[in-house]
Amino acid sequence: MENVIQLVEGSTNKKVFWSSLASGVLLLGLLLVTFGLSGVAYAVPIAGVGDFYVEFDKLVGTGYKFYPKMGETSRETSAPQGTNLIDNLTINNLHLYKDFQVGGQWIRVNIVSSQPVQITGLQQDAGLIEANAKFQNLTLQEKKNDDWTKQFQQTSSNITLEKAKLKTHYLFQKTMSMNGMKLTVERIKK
Amino acid sequence: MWRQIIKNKGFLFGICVQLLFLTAFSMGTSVKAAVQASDGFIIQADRVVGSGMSATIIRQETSSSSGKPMLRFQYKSATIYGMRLTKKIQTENGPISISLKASGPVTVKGMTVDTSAITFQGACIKALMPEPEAGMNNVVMVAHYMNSVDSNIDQLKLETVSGSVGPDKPDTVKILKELAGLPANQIDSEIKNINSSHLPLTCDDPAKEGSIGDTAKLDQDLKKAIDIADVITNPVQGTIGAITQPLVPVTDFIGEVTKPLEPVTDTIGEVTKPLKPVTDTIGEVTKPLKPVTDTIGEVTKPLKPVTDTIGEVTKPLDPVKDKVNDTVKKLDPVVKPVTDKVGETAAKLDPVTKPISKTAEKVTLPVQETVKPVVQTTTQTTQKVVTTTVQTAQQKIDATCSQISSSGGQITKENALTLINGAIANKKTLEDMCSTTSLKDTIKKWDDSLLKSLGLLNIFGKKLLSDPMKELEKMREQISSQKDGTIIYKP
Repeated sequence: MENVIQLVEGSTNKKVFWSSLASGVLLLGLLLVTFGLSGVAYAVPIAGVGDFYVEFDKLVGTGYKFYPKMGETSRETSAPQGTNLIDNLTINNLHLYKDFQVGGQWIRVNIVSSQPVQITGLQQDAGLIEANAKFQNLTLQEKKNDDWTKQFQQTSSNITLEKAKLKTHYLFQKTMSMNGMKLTVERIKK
Repeated sequence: MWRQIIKNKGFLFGICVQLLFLTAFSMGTSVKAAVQASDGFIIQADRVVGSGMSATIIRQETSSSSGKPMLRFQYKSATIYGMRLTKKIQTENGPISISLKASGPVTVKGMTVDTSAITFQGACIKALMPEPEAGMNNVVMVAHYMNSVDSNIDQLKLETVSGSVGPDKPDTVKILKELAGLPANQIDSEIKNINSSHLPLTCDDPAKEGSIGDTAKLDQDLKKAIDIADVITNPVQGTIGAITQPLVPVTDFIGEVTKPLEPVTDTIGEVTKPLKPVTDTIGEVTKPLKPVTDTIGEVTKPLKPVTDTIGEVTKPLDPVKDKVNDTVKKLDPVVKPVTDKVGETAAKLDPVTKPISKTAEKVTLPVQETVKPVVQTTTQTTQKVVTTTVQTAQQKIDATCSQISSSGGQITKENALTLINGAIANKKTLEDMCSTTSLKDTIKKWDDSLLKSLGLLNIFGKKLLSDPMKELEKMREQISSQKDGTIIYKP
């Protein structure tokens, strides 16, 4: 007797999908409203929308620190990441984007800023950083500590990143001035 | 029999003790391994070219030790090709690895690296012996501290991933092993001794490391080559025909001698590769210069319209000259009638000029003739008018005097002005203006009261102004400011 393989077509749970999309758009909307009111947003976290990408032409910052951590991503509850802390920074041509799958198609939500973005107190948890980097007073150091997140640190007094792409899981800024911001949604092919 | 042995209490106790020790040691070793796995970060490089390099031994903090003997390399500047940095960390969820890769060259200034283990191909390094130019190939080191004043990392890729990735750690340098075996209080003194004696630091096994800077190995290679050459020359002296065949092994032996030189040629090959992007860059620079020359061409073109504009400016100047001439010409007819009319206007009245402008030639002759009688009549009439005017003024004064007399000595503003004007014109006193005696007294009293009110008399009743005409003028000014019809004086 032959085994009959029955093909089962997968389907997306519409309730779950639309609720998650709506919550993500609501978060972005709140962020936009905050920017629109004052031009400067205070204590801005961008999280809960899963992995998103940050691209920019140039970042110039002071007071840089990197250390490893385990954090939540859109796929795992605990995944290895690197926390990047920068005290003050300016970003030229910032572009944040997040891709969503809607049915069988992909859409991309873009946030771009035509003017330089001023940020203080940045915390960014990234899984990947690609850039041309310049550091001043760069130090990679081990320290004897029971907390494994403090056993290895990379610090720099000044950091410059050019043509950068960062796979980001969490973003937080104490203050953020983002003039000339634009939000667009486009259909993409993957 | 086996059953009896197993039931033996001593046997069971021995097995238990063995199991206990086995468990204890196995747990201990696993913990140690985990700690060692996360100790230090591994730096790999295809090639490191630096200047102003020196090495020494220091004690540095690690993730598991507060003062571990290490080699410290210091560079004034260095370029690292093919750099990879890996840090393995043990977490509660398993091992993770931080990976930092640079696909492009990494240039650093003022770099310091502390390492506990290192392997590389290059010159033997001695303690505190500065190397102006130092090159290392295929470097793998376990670093615990790295610092640089300026770092430029092209095409950096920094990622944190699950699992333990990266190469195995190299062996610890022999000299560091020996130091680690010493008591803690002797380590520092031994480090001082090594640094002051400039002892070799990275020359554990020159044959294994392939150190080209090891003079002892080079001497050995040279001796081997000379021995082989001696063996070859003997058969050559025998027969000429047989010389060509033994020459084949001679080239082979030369090949053996040159082998140590191979790293040098490889190094040159690697150095030339980075130069290629430099020539490409020059090619890219020349291209942008083309638009610059084009731009100069574009600049000269706009200059042409500037010269054209000057041509256009000179042309408009011509009509300006013409206009000046026209204006001068036009002035002539204006001057003529003005000069002609000067004599006429002096004597003529307005109605006479209109018919002259219409028919100038015909009118001028009869007009000149008529002018003379007009002038004469004018002078005659002025004489008449003056005499009649004088007569009228005296009549007015007389009428005024009669009005004052009839009003019982009341003097109005108009009557007062008439008398004052008459007095000024005739250069007489106010009293003399009316001939009637009674009026003379009235006018004198008015005169005195007026002078008093004007403050022109002192406390003794004497006049302050010597000129009577000035008194009269002041009186006229005072009275003129009064309203019309105002009674100036009542007796």
